[in-house]
Amino acid sequence: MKQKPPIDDKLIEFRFPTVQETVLKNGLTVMVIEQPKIPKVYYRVGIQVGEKHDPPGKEGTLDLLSLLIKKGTQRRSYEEIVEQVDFMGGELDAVSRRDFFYLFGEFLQEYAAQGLEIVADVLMNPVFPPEELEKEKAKMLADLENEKSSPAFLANRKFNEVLFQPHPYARYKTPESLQAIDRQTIQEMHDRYIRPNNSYLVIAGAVTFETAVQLAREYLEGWEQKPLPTETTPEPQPPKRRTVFLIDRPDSEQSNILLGNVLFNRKHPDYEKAVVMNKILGGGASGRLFMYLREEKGYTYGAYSSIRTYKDHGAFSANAEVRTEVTREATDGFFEQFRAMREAPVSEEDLKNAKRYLIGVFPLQNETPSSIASLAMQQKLYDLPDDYWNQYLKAIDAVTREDVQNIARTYLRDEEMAVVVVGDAEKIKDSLTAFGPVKVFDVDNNPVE
Amino acid sequence: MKEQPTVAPHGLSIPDPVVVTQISSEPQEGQIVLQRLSNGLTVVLMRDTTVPIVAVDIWYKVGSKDEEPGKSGFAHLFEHMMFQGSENVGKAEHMKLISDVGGWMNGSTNKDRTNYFEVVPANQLRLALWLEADRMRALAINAENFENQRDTVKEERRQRVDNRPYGPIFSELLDELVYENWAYKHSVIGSMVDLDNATLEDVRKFHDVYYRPNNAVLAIVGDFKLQDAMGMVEEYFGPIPAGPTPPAVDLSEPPQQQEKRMQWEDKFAPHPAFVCAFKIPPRGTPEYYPLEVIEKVLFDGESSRMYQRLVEKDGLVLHLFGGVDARLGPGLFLIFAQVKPGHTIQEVEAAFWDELDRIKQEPLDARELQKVKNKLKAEHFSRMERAYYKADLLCMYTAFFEQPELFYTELDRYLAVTAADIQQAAQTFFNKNQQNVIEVYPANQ
Repeated sequence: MKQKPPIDDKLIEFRFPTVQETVLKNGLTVMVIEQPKIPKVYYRVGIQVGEKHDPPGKEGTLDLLSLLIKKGTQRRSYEEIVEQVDFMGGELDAVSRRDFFYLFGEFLQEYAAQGLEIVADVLMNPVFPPEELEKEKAKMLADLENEKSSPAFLANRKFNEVLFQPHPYARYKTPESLQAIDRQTIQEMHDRYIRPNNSYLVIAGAVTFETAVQLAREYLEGWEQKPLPTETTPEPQPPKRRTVFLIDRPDSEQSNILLGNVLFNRKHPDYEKAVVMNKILGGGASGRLFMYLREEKGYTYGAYSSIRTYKDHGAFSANAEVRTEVTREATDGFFEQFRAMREAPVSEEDLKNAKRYLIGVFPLQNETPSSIASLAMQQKLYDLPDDYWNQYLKAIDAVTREDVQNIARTYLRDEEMAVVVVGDAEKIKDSLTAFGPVKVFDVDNNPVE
Repeated sequence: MKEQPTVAPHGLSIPDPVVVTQISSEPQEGQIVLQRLSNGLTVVLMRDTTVPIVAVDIWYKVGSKDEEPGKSGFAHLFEHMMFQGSENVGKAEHMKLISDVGGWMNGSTNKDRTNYFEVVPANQLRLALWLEADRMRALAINAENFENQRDTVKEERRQRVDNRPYGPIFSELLDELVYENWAYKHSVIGSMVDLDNATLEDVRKFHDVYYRPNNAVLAIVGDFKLQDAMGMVEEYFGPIPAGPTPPAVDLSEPPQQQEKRMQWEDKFAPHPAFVCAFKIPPRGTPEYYPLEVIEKVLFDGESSRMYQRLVEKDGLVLHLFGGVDARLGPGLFLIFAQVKPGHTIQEVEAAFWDELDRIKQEPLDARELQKVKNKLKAEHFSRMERAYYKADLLCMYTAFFEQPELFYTELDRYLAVTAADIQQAAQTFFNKNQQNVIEVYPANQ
C-alpha cells in the first residue's frame, strides 16, 4: 500500500519584525526595520502620487518622471550617479504605479550614509535632462506600438477603461498624451507631489533605529514640505447592465476573454475573505476555472480569476485565452462557475487546501529584507491597521465556508460585468450577443461600426 | 557555553566555529552543521529563523561530463524522469504536492552536477524530505514514462536550441569549438541521435550508479530544529543502500596553441554577433579568482568598461554580456555582443581587444578595484538573503570541494585579489592564440 504524503495541517506562525517609526519635522514618516544579518542597507521611499494623478491628456507623465529621475541632478551627471551607485555595491531605481510612486536604493552597510545622500539627491534635485526625455519618450512610443500586438494588454486597457471611468484609473497612455508632455509637465508634477509630507521612507537592514533616524534627518530633513493639492476623484460608473466590449483582431486564432466587475479597495474588511474565495474559484492550476475550462473542457491552456485591489477601488476579474470556435462556450463556462460559487458552499476540503496554500505561500514571498520593507510600506500606503501583517494570516485562517459563499453572492455580479474579448470579430461577434449588447473596437480603441 | 559570532572585516557575522560536526544542542543561527549518514549521504544544515520557511536542496554529483560518448543528453533526460513518480508518489504529483502547500521546486542539470530543490513553509519540511527520499530510493522507471520524457526533451531541444536565435551557440557550438576532451565538449541537452539511442536499461543503470546516497549532498536551510530535521533525514534517507563509487572522470585539457575560429549561419538571428571565449582554470583554484574580478570590471553594471566602450561610447553593440562560466574542470571566459546595424563584427572584435589590451597593460586604479570588490561583496550578500541560494551554495561547496566553510570564507579570496593579480591573469589567459571565436551571421543576409 502507498504511504500518504506527510502534509502538516497546522497554521504557520508568521512574526512580522518590529517596525520603529518617527516623523521628521518636514512631515516625512520614517520606518526602520533592523535586520542585522546581511551587511546591507535598503531604502524604500513610497510617495502618494500615482499615474492617476497624471494631468488629463498627459497620461504617462509620472512614468516618464520615474525613468528620468536618476538621469541627472543639480549636483551629479547620470554617469556620476551610475558610477557612484556601482561603487557602493548598490542599486537605485524608481517606478510608478496607479496609486503610488516608489524609489528604491540598496547599498553595502558601510555606504549607508553616502547611499542615502544619493537617494535624497535624486529625489529632491532631479533636472530631467530634455535629451533624456526625448530618448525615453521614443522608447515608450515604440513600446506602445508593440503592445498593440498583445491581446492581454488590449484586454486589460479596455477592462480598466470601461469599469472605472470617469475615475482616473480608466485613463491610459497614448502617442498623443506622450507628445503633450514636456520637461515642464514633469517638473511641475515633481514639485507638486514629490514632497516629504506625502511620503514614507522605510529603512531596513543592518542599521539601528538611532543611526537610521540620524541619517534620515541629515539628508532628508531639508526636503521642503508643501501643502498638497486637494482633489476629488469621481466615482467609477461601470455599465449598468452586462455589456460585451469586443476588440477586433482579424485572423486571431484565439479569443482573449477578460470579464469582471468593480470591487472594493484594498482596505476593505472583506479583502481576506475574497482572497480565499478567489483561490478556490480561479487562483492557480487547482482552481475551479482551470479544472473546468482546461481539464474538463479543453478550451484553453489556463483559466484564472483575480482580486485586484487598489487604493481607491478594485475589480474582480477572470480571464482565459481560448480557441476562437469555443469563445461563447468558454464565456458561458465562466458564468457557470460563478453561479456555482454563489449557489452552494464550498467543501471543507477545498477551503482547507486554499487556506493552506495562502498561509504557506506568504512567508515564501516575503523572505528578504526588501520584501519585508515592501510590506511595511504597503501597510502605510494602503492605510491598513498598524498590526496588519501579524493579523493577515489569522484573518485568512478564520474564513468559513459561509463567508466564501457570501462573498461570491455579494461580489460576483454577473449582470453588471464587463465582458472584454479580444479576437476575430467576424467569427465571434454574433455568438457574443448572448451575453449582452456588443460594442466593437479596433486595436487603437476606436469604435467600429 | 554559547559562542558569539565574530564580525569579519567585510561586515558579515561569522559563527564560531563555522562548521560543527558534533551536535549536542541547537547550533547558532548561521552555523554550518555537517553530518554523514552511514550510507554515505552528506547532510549540511544551517538554521535561519528569520522567516518560517525551509529550503531542501539535493545535489547529485553527476552531470553531462559523466556521460559516455554516444550517450550525450542522458543526465538531463534522467532529471526529467525524476518528476515522473516513485513508489509512493504519482506522476507529476511531486510538483502538485509542493505547490499546494505554497512551496516552489525545480531541478536542473549542468556539466558538473544535477540538483533538485523544494522551498516550503517551515512546517512542511517532512513533506519535502519524504518526496526527495522516495525518488532516490524507488524511482518509477517504466517504458511509458521514458518514451514520454524522451519526446519532451527532444521538444525542449527544438525550442531552446534549434529554433531560437543564437540558441545553439552557448548550448553546443562554443563547447565543441573550445574543448578537446569529450567530457565538456558535448552538450548537456544532447544530440537527437543519442537521445534516440538511450534505453530503459540505461535509465536503471544510471540510477543505480549515480543516484545513490553516497553520491549526493543534501542541504537544509531555514527555520527548523536540528534534532527534528536529522530525525526525518535518518528516517527517510537512512534505509537507502549505498551504491558503488562512481567512476572518476578526466576533465583535463591540453593547452591551446592556436586560435580557433568559425562562422555560423543562424536561421533566426536578427543581427550578426561576435562571440569569443578563452579557456580558464577550474573554479576554486588561485588563478581563478582574478578572472571573476575581471568579469566585474568588464561586464558588471552600467559603469563597466565593455558596456561603456561597446554600447555607450562606440555604439557598436545592441546587447552585451560576458564573464566567467565556472566549472569543476577548465571553464570559460566569454563575451557575446550583438552587433548594431551599420557596424561589423570586425569593429566589435577590434574594440573588444582594445579593452583586453588595456586591462593587460594598465593596472586598475584604487577606486575601480574597490568598486568591483564592492560589487562582489554585494552580490555575495544578496545570495545570502534567500534560503534557496544559501542551500545551493552549501551544496556546491560541499559537493565540489568538501569545504562548506567556503560559504563564509571564499569571499576573502576575491577580496585579496590585487591589481597586479588582475594584470597577470589577463596577460596569461587573454591572448590571440588562445581565443575561440564564433562569427554569427543571419542566414538570410
